[in-house]
Amino acid sequence: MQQELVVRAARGETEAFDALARLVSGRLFAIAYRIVRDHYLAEDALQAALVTIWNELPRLRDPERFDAWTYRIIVRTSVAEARRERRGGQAIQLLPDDADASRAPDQFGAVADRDQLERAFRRISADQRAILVLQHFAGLSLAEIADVLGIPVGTAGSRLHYATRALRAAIEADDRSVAGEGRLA
Amino acid sequence: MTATNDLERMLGEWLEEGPRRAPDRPIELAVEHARSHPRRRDPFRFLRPDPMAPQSIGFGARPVLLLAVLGLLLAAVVAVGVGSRGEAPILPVGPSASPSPSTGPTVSPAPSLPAVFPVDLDVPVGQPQTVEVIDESGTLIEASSGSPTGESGTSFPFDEVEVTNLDASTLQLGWSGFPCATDHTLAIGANGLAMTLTRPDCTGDTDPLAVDRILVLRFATPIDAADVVIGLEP
Repeated sequence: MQQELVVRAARGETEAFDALARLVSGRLFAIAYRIVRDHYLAEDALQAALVTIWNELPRLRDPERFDAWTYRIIVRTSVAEARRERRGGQAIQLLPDDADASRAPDQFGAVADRDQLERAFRRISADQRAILVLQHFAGLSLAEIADVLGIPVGTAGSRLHYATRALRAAIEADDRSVAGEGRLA
Repeated sequence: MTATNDLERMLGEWLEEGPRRAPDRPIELAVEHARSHPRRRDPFRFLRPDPMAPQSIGFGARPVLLLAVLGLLLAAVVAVGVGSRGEAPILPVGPSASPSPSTGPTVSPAPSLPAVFPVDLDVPVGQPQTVEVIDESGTLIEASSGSPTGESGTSFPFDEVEVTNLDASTLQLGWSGFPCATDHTLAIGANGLAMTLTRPDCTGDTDPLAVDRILVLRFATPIDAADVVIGLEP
């Protein structure tokens, strides 16, 4: 069904593109929202992605690669939207590899609540958010993430590692700022 | 490891929350765009790179190579044709002719290739950064620095160069690097689409927080960022 729509849309049939867009938009919007964390930015990212899909679809030679290709496009448009919003935002400095050694093993489960996770997630870069979303929400394997992002598997693994570390560092920074506010009060 | 697993489990659960259904408006706008931009027949479609082809020399790069080979063959045929005409025709020189020492037809000198464009990058923080752009294609008109906005942190990935169109014939290349003094080199291949950016490693101590680098390239002809294949070395 989807492949047939892909082939017909690539030939320029707008009805097929309409149906195809409605078929895949839920998946793409869900990814975009989780990267940009804003409904309107996610809408913009989705629209940009759909326009790109229409414009570039004839160049996609293998219709079976459509899903991976659309993941790539929505990641790019979402990251672009997030960066536009984030310009001037605060950067997270990575902690050394053994930074979590001082924490009790299950401390994240106890401490990091959803609000804290939201704040920390917003503080890491859009690229880092994207790779975390691809793995932990879209459920892609490392090889699939590498394929989607067009990078070697090893690079995908290292980016995932750094993204996780950055998120952990952001949670710890949040801990410190909350503790600091407590002392001031 | 347990802490990491806890964090990942919690992240997975948290990401499950949130919308899964797309609003209608972006879909309707995109379909409207499709209707108002009907697809034209593209006779060179087979030459366009597949967006999902590997970035290295692969299926996606083959059409570009094919085009380059065809161009070389055409140039060779033209060169043979011109060469086989023998000596250049001697133009009649009348009494009113100018006393120019040149007797043959005037030919504009071809631009010498490769053209080299030195660029000092704008750096909000850290040591001076330069890029020497070496253009083998003859299509580059101008190379200049863009303006990174943040003083720290990066908007671009560390291990790849992000290419975007600023307009139809202008590209922006964005990447990140440590704030040590760095002399980059950007080589643009003869087809104008294959590029290699060399970013030497830092030799001494440096701040471990990478910062953005932005290079703007203006070409004589339209160029699509999606067609550019760019590598970052080392």
